[in-house]
Amino acid sequence: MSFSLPKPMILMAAVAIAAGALVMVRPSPRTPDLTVWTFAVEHARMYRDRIDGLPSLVEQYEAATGRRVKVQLMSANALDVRLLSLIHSQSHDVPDLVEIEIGSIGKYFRAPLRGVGLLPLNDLLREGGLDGQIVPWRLAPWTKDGVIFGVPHDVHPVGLAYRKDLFDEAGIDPARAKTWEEFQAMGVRFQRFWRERGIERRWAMELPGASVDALRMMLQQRRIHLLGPDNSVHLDEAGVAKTVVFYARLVAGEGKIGEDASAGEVGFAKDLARGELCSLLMPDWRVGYLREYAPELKGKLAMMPLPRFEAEDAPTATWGGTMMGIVKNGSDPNRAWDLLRFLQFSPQALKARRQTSDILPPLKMAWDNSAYHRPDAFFGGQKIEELYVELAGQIPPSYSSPFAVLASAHLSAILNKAVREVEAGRIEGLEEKVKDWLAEAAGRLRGQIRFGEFPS
Amino acid sequence: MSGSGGWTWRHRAAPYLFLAPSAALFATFLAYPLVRSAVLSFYKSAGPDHEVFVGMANYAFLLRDRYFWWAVANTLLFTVGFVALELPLALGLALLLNHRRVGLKKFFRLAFFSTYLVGQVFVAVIFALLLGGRQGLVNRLLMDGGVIGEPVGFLTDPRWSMVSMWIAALWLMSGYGMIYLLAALQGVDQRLYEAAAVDGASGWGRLVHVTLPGIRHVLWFLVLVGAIGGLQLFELPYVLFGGSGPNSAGLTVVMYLFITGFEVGDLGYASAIGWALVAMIGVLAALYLRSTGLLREERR
Amino acid sequence: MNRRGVCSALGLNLLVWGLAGVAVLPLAWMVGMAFGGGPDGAWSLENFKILLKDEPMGRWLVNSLFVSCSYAFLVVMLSAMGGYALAKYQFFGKGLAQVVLVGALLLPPQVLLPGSYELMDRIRWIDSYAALIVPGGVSVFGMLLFRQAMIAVPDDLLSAGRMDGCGEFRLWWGVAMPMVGPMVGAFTLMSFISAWNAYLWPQIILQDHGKFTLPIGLANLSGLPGYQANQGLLMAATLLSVLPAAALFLILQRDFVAGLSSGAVKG
Repeated sequence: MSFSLPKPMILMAAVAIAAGALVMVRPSPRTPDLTVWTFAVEHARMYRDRIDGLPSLVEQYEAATGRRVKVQLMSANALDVRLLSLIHSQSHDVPDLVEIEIGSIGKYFRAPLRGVGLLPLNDLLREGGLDGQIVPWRLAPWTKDGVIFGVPHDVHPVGLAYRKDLFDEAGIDPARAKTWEEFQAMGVRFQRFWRERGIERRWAMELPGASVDALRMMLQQRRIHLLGPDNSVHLDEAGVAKTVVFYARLVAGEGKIGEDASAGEVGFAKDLARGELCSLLMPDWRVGYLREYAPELKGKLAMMPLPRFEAEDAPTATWGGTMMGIVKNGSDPNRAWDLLRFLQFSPQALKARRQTSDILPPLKMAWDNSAYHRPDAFFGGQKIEELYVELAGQIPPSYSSPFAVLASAHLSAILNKAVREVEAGRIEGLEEKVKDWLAEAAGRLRGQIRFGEFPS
Repeated sequence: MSGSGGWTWRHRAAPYLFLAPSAALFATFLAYPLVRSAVLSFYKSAGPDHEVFVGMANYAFLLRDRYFWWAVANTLLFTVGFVALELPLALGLALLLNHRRVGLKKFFRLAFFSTYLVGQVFVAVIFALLLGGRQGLVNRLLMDGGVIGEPVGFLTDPRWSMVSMWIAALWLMSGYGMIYLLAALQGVDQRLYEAAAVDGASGWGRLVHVTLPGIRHVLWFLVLVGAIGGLQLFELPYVLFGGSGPNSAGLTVVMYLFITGFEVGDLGYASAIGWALVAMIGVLAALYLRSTGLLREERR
Repeated sequence: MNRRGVCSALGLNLLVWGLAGVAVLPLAWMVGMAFGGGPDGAWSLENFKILLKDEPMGRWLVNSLFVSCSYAFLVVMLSAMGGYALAKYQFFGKGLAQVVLVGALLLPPQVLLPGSYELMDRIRWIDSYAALIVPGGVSVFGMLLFRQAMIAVPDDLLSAGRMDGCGEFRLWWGVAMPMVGPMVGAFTLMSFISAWNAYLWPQIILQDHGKFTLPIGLANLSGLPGYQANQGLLMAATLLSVLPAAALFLILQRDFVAGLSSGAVKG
């Protein structure tokens, strides 16, 4: 009677033992004293890349303090799932500093205040004298019931970048468009110009037909927020319906000037470079992607403030945003705060930021630096950072909420219905219909918030 | 089996010993979490340490949660379409490979099955590149072939989301169905074909009257496996769209469970969603047992 | 063979080639992209070099191998033991056990997620490989599969063994297991593949970047702009992730097909 393992199981056992041995014996990397999680390449680069062979920001900090720092880059989805799981399980094996994206922070704010898992920073900010220097509206998204849980990394004002070469060829100057309506008319003319010359696939602007990022920015320009800081619902506020209908007519029907960009975070760069989409909403963080993934665009671009709907609207909005916060269960909050201040606000950090990225710091006093007032060859010599500084002073407020995702989902569903109506040519009375849909969705959203709010 | 001598008690004890490790794991990691999930579904939670008893509120809300029903509709649509497309495709492949005039059978069997080895996540990563982008491979091929003038927003246009999911899922699963059907086809009694040939049955007639009845158990098995897999869909759309997709067109029940429990942190409501899924699969299984008559056979 | 027959045979073969082309195209494209990126479109290993330098791909690969092989070994072992007990013994509680098993077969594993997560948290198994290997070790499907296959083991053979003084464990191991060889191969492959491709549970459990398995690592990479822009790099990573599963299939494919036709699908 044989007593040998079946071959497949021998194979499994052998590989498992060999791999297990490797897992055991491989040197685990030296445990750092401080760990930083980020989801943004550009941020990671600013912290850990050497510039001209000089020590990186992290290396400078390590040299000065003798503490080892590790910067871990991971995708935003992965970061959220992991961090929330760590917070919920009250683990002490946590990163010290974390960067959280503005669209995600609501997930952390669902728990009652003491369960948020991040360290309140109000006192630290006040002691450091930082609270007065940070652009005021940029603390709001990271605040729950008056408690500040994160320090903003950015301002992220939005301009409108366009293919100046192609618009010039068509004899159109988009910078003269003061309103979105004027811009739409120019876009239609621009497309007609190129269609007549046999170029079918050339659209005036990148505008997503289904997602509501761009629509949300237009609403923000008009200072309309789907959700207020106290989770009050403003989906049915005056002006929303009008904006939705206008937007639907930008992406469908006869006045269509916008098309979806290629999927992914950097798809837009290639679309712009190929001249398929010829202008885009351009927050400062997108500039770096353009420089890196579409270097051939050098000298072909220009930027302008956003057109408005009405004179009192803001000429800009904000898109995206990141905070850096301290995990409550981290090993040493004081050390973490020390590193946070160094990475965000030290002169070395501000210098590294200027050298590695186009992202404007949230400190007003830093904007005077001459680096933010230089001509930029990539934009044909235009001083785009100066434009961003100018826009940054005029950003409208924005808030965050655990229910922002739901609010966006409602808006997205309504936008889609409106787009279908425009495509079918049923524009007459559309605004009234949209109003009804919004009112119904607002009621539903209020119910969802009542159900979802965690009693504090 | 009557024992004699020394091995009786050992013989008696053996099955329990054989089953003991499984039973221990079963109780710890299956039965216990199951009970906890049932209990949790009556709580509202923000992580394991913030739990408040809410009675039936989660289920009551579930019934009128449009987002949930949207996920259910998406999931059902995916499942029905997927099964309806996968079976004929897999059967077609199996019939082709079973045809006596087709050569290189082993090679083709491997070629068609190879796609199944690629996991859902990897399939999603590959198809995100193939389908995504105004200049993605599929769009380029279709435009060069003159099939479409404008690139199709496979991943950005909600009207195409389901199609994209079907394409990726069919590519992943058809070879799997084919392998089972091929094995079943080879088991069909050849004499039945000969008899049918004597009766002068056409190719179609042979397919309908001999082949399909001969492999009906496997067909039903594939319907069940496909339907259960479809109802549990998660990774494919989650990675393909990087979330729930445009206008949530890729939101499935399991994705809603995952987002609710592990992104929003409400394990209570997530449990309720899980039990809704149990109910859906239970209904499906009951239908399956009735229509295949397996219960009757079992009793006989 | 008449002319019409030749034509239709040719047509059928062309059809098969065409369909195989469609099936293999995405894989071929992946390979092409992965090895592309050389100067002037020449083939190169550049992508793999960058990948292994910049990302802990090697680590993830070893992690995946360890988790998947350990899991497959454990689950085949336990399923074969359980299936044997159900197939070859009469004992008190057997009926109940089988009803529970069939019921559990239909239970979607996702309903367990909240409870399991809480349990892992309580026993401090978050971010551990034990959480990936042990809880799934009991496979209801596997037990039923082996039960079905082992029913065919002749009782006389077992009785004869007992007469010779063989222990019960030895009978299972030495008599029954060799008779269901293809099933062992088939189920090993299935278990390995399912662990290899698992995403939802590891995504919740694994925290440390160095502990990731390949699907988690790859899904993470695919969310980073650098990889979205450099598709060759992403495809190289995907290729590395898919290869081991394919290799195992090639080794076990005969068992796999035989195992399928032997017992899995008798209805």
